[in-house]
Amino acid sequence: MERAIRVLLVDDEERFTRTLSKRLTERGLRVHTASSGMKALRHMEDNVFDVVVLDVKMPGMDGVETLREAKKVQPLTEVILLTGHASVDSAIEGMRLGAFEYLMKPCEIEELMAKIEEAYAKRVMREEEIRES
Amino acid sequence: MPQIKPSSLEYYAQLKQHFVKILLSAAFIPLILIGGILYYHFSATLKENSLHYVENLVRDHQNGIDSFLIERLSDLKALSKSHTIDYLVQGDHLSEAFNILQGEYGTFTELGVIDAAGNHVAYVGPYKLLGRNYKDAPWFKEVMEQGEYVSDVFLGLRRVPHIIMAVKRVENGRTWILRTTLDIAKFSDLVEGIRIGKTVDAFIVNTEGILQTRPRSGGDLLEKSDFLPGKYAQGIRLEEKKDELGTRFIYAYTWLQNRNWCLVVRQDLREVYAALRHVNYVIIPIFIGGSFFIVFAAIFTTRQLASRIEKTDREKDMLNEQLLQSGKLAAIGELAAGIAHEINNPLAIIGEEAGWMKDLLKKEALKCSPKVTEFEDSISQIELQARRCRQITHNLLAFARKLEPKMESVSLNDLIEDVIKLVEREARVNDIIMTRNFYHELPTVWTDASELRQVFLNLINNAMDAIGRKGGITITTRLGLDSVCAEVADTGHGIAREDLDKIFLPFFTTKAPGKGTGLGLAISYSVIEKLGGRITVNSAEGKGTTFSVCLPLGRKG
Repeated sequence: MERAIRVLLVDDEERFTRTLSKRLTERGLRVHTASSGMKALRHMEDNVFDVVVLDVKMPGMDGVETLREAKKVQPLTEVILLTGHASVDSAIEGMRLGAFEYLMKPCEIEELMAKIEEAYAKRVMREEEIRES
Repeated sequence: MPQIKPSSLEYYAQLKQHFVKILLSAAFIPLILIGGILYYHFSATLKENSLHYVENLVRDHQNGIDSFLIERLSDLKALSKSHTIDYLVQGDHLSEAFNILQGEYGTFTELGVIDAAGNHVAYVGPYKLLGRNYKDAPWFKEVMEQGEYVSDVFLGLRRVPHIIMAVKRVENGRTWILRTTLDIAKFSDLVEGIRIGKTVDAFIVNTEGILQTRPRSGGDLLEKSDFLPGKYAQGIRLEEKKDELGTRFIYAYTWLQNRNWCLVVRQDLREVYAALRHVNYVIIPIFIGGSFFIVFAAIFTTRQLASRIEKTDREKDMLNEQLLQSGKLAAIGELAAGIAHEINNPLAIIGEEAGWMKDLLKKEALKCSPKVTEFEDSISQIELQARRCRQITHNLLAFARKLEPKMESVSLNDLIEDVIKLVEREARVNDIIMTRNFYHELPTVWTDASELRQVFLNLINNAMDAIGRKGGITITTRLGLDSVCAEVADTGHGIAREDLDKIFLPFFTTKAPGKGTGLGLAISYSVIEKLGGRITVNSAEGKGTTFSVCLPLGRKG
């Protein structure tokens, strides 16, 4: 791996993001956390992220809305949606807005890792495509 | 009707009673009314006819009797006018005259000539009356005054009932009387001939009620009759009277022309009503038979009606219960989804924390800790239990999910076969024999195959759990009227009666704690409901359980 994957974790449950970031860091990722959609967008203005892991149900700006805005800020960033609710409607909307994957919470760390790596691979591929063209 | 909780036994008993009462009164009241009115009119008509009848008898015979008496009297008058007293008292002349008078009827007993002084100067007849003086006899006085006389029936000196008939003749200043007596037998024949039928009786009484003819019903000549005609009046009178024995009679009577005698015709009312009795012999059995029939029919139809009502009520109750059940399920589903969602967040944190600890344990520094295996075991337990909780919440969410089913044409037999293949190996290990009892011409159904697979997997897994070791599961498919059905029958321990109506509720489980979530059947129920079908259960404790799933044979689309 040439460089660490830059990941932004967004969830209103701060303890969740904190521990998850530690675990992902342990697995070689560069992880930032944000406890709301607004904070996440602010982070994205300053830093470039390869993958954003986004909780769908948050107070204030929810995951789907954050996704829409995030895609405006960094169109190449891949977004993985996480939710406690298997709401098909939000899943379909998320995918339509360009989310990479949709995962049910709680999820296994290995599964999340795998998805993040896939998302990163996709991002790299798209970057290369853009560069070539 | 008092309010009693429907579906209770008393309610139906009362309903039945009520119906029977209404039906019986609807049948019997008009029947009895009509019967009573007809009976009344019939008997009134009979009586009226009978009254007319006796009245006519009286009218017809009144004239006959009157003219009989008048004719006899005028015969006597004619005789007195056609002869002189001198002629009659000579030789056989009176005897000749008597023969002429008798004519062909022979109604007279004797003939005599009496002079103005009352002496019987000539006589033909069976008695020795010649020379007797009648100066003081009441009839003599009367005939001298009135010119003619007809007596009542009386016995007289001869002790034989007879009627005296006498006419006065004034011949050139000489007054004499021609006297005769009527043979009562001949006279009686006239009256007694009226007797028609068994109880029509005719007789004559005088003003005092003394019988002038012999009534058939008892009583002799000159005896006092129990019928008193009252005062003379014209025309025919009708009366109804009881005799001393309580027998009711109708009477028709009229005064004869001589004003002394009354012609009476009477009829026993029993005879009048005999026709009615005959009708009764026919009507009463019909009425009784009809009554039995009505009662039987009322009870029979009521029973049928009540049982039909009971059935509809039961079906209604069942439907209500099902509605209630699905309403409950929906409410519980929403609640469950909410809870599941809320629990998922803390669960995620627990999982992550445990994962982080596990990550840390992998570090070299901690590996030398003596209790590290204990830690590892503990943490993996936390992870495992968190995963279990996650399974539960995911199941819950799946149960509450309002997914549009993915519809396709499905062969139920093939689908069940797939499911059986999944579990058959495990079944064999547990000595459970799977029997397929498939209806091979089963049409395909338009439904969601993956959901349906989940349902049958649930049912078969439950069946295997119910059996434990050694037993059989029979899976039957069949074609209903407008549905295809599959039955999963096991030889397991069955379901307790009190649990039977709870088994489709979420979180209800009879399995040991940690073994079942109590969601399998609830999810199956909601899936089958969503697919427009029905899932039902039948169980006998200790013998086994049968789950039936029926899916509608709807056309594509």
